[in-house]
Amino acid sequence: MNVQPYVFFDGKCEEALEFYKSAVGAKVDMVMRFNEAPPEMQSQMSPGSKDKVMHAAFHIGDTQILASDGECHGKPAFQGFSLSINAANDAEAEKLFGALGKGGKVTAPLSETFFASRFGMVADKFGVNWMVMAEKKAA
Amino acid sequence: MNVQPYLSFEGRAQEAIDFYKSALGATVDMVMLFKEAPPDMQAQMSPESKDKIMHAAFHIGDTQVMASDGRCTGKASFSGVTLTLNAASNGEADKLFNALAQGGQVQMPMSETFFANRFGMVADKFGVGWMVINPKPTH
Repeated sequence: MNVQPYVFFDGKCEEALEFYKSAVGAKVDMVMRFNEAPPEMQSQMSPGSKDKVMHAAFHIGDTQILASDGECHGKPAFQGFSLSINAANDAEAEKLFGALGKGGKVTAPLSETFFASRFGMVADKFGVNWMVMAEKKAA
Repeated sequence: MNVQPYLSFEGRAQEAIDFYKSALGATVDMVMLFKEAPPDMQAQMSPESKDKIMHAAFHIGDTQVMASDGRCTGKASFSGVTLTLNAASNGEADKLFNALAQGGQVQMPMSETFFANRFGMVADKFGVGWMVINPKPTH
């Protein structure tokens, strides 16, 4: 048994995958579009959504994340959830934080805290909240 | 580098963790209360949040999930992200789904789909959206 985050981009999934590929080196495992679903499912879809992403899977580092365009309203909204991305060192944390923040909004600048060598929070340009962290190294 | 889901329960984190222990067999790795934070951080907190959870980590199956009471607003709300729970068998999927649905709201009853032996969607009593799936072997 395992648990995977499933992120709904509401019509911007393709754009988001491209962004994560360039920002955090994401690797796309699979993309299934609505027009690839069985015929009886396609009859329930609006024509405008047929080329949208029904289901995608991609890796960021060692973790697989799932995503979809969901109901394709064009207004992704995220609340209550963040994705915590664990960097190997301060330099990687700074690079990831800078890349995820392009076009987004920094909610806590990256800095040293009592629990981390580097920690910061940023909402990316799609509204997904990220916590970027580099752990304190044991002395 | 890896990515972990981080949930903000806004004052109900302890209750949520207890629920996931009994519903999903979650095992708690660590809990840090706000009153355990360094003194300079505590000065910024309201007295009633001191016994709330600043940070917790727990395992559901093989996956570590993190949680907090966040700003302790008492109004947890989750949107844009759901958690996919991958079960090993139909029996396990049904058991997990029913346990998560206690006090929650079933959005899609468990059934066979073109991509899964069992798939269902449920919002638990805290509003966290779950997809419970036993994938088809070829998927």
